[in-house]
Formats: sequence, C-alpha cells, structure tokens
Amino acid sequence: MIQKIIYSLSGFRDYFIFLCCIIFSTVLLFSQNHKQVLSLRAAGADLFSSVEKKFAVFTNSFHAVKDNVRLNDQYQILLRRYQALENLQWENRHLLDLLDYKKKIESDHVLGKVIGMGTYQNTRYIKLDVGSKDGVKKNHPVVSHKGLVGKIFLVGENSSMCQTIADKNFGLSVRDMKTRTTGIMKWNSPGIAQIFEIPKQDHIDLGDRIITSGFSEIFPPGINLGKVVRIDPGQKDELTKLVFVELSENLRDLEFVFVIMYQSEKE
Amino acid sequence: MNYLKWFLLFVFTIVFQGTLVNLISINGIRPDIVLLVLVFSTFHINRTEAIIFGFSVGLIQDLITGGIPGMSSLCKTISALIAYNLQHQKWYQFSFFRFLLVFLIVVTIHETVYFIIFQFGSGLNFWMMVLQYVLPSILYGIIMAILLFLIFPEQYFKMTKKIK
Repeated sequence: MIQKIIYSLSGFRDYFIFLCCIIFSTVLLFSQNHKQVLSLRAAGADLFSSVEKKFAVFTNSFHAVKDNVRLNDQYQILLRRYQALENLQWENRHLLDLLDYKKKIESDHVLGKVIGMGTYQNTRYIKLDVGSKDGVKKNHPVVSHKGLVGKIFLVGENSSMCQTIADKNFGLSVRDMKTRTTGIMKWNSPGIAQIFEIPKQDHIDLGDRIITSGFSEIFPPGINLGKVVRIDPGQKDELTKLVFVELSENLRDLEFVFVIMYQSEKE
Repeated sequence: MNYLKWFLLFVFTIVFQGTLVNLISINGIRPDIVLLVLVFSTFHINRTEAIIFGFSVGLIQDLITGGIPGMSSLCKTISALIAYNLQHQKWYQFSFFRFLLVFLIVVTIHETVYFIIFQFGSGLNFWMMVLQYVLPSILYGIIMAILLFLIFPEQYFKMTKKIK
C-alpha cells in the first residue's frame, strides 16, 4: 500500500519540488526583515560588489561617453545663451550711452537705426531708417555717442544715406581742444584720420582731443572726433606738419546714430 | 551540455544582467537575459532540473543584486515550469517563431507575477505599472531574443536538432 502511494507520488515528484520551491520563495518573501535573510543578502551584495567593481570600468567609461555628449550639448546651449546675453548687455550699454548722449545734445535731433552699410572694407556710406518724414535733410550731421559719424547726403522719405568720415572725399575743419589749433581732417586708413594744414609752429601734443571747429556751416562746434596718436613734422622745407588722429567711433560697429538738425536751425 | 556548463552560463548571465545590461536600459527598462537563457535551457534539461535551475537562478539573482529575496526565485520557478511544459508538448514542433511565442508567454507571466508581488504595499496603480514597466519589458525581452537569434543562430539550430 505504502509502496503504491510512493510509486504514485513519484509521478508528481516534479510538482512536489515545484511546490517546495514556491513555498520556500514565499517564506523568503515574507521574512525579508529576518536577521538571517538580511545577513545572507548582505553577504551576497558584498560578493557581487567586488564583481561590479571590475565591470565599473566599462560602465563608467560608457556613462562618461554619454555624459560627455550630454555636457557638450548643454555647453552649446549655454554658450548660445551666454552669447545672447553678452549681445544684450552690449546693446544695453550702447543704448545707455546713447541715452546719456541724447541729454547732452542741445540741437533738435532724431535717432536713427543703421540698416545698411557699404560692403567695402572701409565703411564709406551707411543707410539709416530715418528720412524726410522724420525731418532729415541733406547735410545734416550724423553723430554717435562717441563722436562724429558723417553727414546726410541723400534723403528718401523713410530712409537716408550718410557719407561717413571714412570716405576719402570727406573733409572737415577740426580743432585741437587744448591748443585750439585748427586744420582740415581727412580719412587716412581704417580708424585713423589725418589733419593737414597745421603750421609747424602750432603746438599739438600726443593724446590731445580733436573736435569739430565750427567753421563749417554743416557741423556744429565741439563734436568729438578722436585723439592725436602721431605727429609727422614733415620735411625741413615744408611749412606744415601732419597729425594723425585715432577716430573715436569705430564705424563698423554702428547700430544707432543721431541726426542733428543743425543746418536747418541755422537756416 | 552538462550541469557545470549550464551553471557557468547562468552565473555569467546573472553577472551580465547585474552589470552590463544597465548600459542598454531604456528609461530604466531592461531586458531579462537570465529569463531568456532559462527558457532556452528548458530544451536541454528535464522538468525537475528546469524547476531547480529556475529557483536557484532566481534566488542567486535576488541575493546578489539586492532584489527582494524570494521574488525572482518565485517568478523564475514558475517561468521555468511553464517554459518546460510548453516546449515539451507532443504537438510542439520547434521553429524560431514558436520559440518566440513560448518566450512571449513566459515573459508575460514572469513580468505579471513579478509586478503583482511588487505592487503589494507599494501603493502603485497596477495598470499604470503594466503600461509603464510590464509591456515595455516584454517588448524589450522579445527584441533581445530576436537579436540573440541573429547573433547566435547556430545555437538555435542545435536546439532544433535536439527537439527533433
């Protein structure tokens, strides 16, 4: 009888083992906080951690590559943001300077935005977004907060063209602010202008500030132009000397300018 | 393949599952390579061995990978028995697609049991877990089975011969 039972049970051996495994697993599940189970888990985790450390080289390098890609992306985003902020900061500072300068201008004036520049290496002409509708007329002086830019030579209804001091044909009467010596200034090379017709005996020092003289009917006196950087005494038989001036306004960076209604006031 | 070879293969797979599989995880979803090897092994061993292998592998996995003790052993024991029973039916003719079907059934049962137990006491919504974890895990497991077939096709052919 017992043999029969054992024989019949042996057919269910697999399921008996299965049941034992299930019961054992369930017991384990419900005894997670048991001291022995915890110590077994700790021992297992310790054993595996040493293996994990060996593999950490692969996983870390893999993550490093991923991190590198991610950080590179973030760097690009931050770089773009930084450049945008830097641009805004520059614009803000520029506008503040303009605002400050605007308060100093006594004559009527109109603010114009530079909407185009000559494609030559030296900017000879610039296009402004103000025209006859805004009261702009031919020969109105154009200035920035740093100094003289040029004069209006062509006026449209909504835009105008300005001949800048970088044009070789542009000449104007200037004065040394300190010694009051006068001369005719013309553009020489990028950022540098030349003053002619200064008698040798007239005193000019390096670093002297050069301003408009006011002799011209177009430009009001006292507009800044730049500072003296070089003086060429000329040949012995010559009566005049050459003075080189570093222009204050870098014409390539212009964004906003003022058109002064100087001439119209005079008229 | 003798027991030692199977044991070494399981150890290797468990180590792989615990370390390098993390590298191919997608949003925390990892394929269960151990289960895949377990299903594969049930072709070559008898039912008792399948159950014992399933239980042992699950237990080792629980203990060394910091899982809840008893969870994987329970799921893997059930999976091993089901995989064995499905693959050793008289009507069963081996083909890769049928193997995939068996694996799909086993992995579904495995993941469902696993997450049912996991859900107890966690307060998580079961259906949310099905959507977020169970289904992606099943899908990833199937993809992995196909990839392994493409990488080691001769192993599958050996299995075919054995079944015939």
